[in-house]
Amino acid sequence: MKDRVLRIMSIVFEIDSNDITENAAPGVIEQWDSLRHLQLIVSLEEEFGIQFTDSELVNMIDIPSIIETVTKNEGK
Amino acid sequence: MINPYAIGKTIYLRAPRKEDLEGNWYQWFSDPDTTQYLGDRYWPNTIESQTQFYESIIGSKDRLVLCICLSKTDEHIGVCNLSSISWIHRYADIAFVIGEKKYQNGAIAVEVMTLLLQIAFERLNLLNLKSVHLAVHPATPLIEKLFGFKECGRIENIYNYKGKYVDSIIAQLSKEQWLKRNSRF
Repeated sequence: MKDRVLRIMSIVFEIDSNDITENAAPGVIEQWDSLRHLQLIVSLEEEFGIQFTDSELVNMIDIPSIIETVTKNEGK
Repeated sequence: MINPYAIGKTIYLRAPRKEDLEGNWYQWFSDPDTTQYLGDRYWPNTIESQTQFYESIIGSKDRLVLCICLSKTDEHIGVCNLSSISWIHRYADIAFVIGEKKYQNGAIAVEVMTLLLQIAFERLNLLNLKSVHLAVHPATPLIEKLFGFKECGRIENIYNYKGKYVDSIIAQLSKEQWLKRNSRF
């Protein structure tokens, strides 16, 4: 699952997935701007066939929180 | 925080104050980058016209305008509103602008939308919200998709955007859809 998240991130941010560190966040990855943040969340919903709640959307601010939220929703 | 009306993770929303008129608020609505996707903002904004707007919204019951502020510093970074509120049919238009460019990031936009939806559906007990945006706006369709808005109308070639006529898109979110999306049960 984590690999799928990183693959989506690499596509959205147009960088190699090996360049995405464990604690990456906006400001750490230069390409992680406002538009791509939104594209990332939409792409994750489409990839995993899930729909995040409002509070989950607010909390998805970096890689650890994104992976945690996707993991929680996967299979629901 | 100063007089918070709704509190989020990093921002809060509060009623506008007279002091806000002396800040950057009026300048956001002259800035071509910030206003390029707003359909009716082709004229320069001034403190005087901002003051007129401020006076028109104080006490209004069909338009709720709120300032977006950073919780840590109280910096006023944008403005959001529910407008054309119908208390009979219980609907409103929803919109927001983050004027301070360094805070024009997706995470803050998501927080603002979350708070506005809570206000609209829980506190004001509205039943439907409508969002209208230019088809060329890069971020609004993504925000609408995340929050479950559905496109319900399109006016073709209505706005002159950088020399080309572009469509205006109308999207809708009902309270029922919002509750369903936020329910895990």
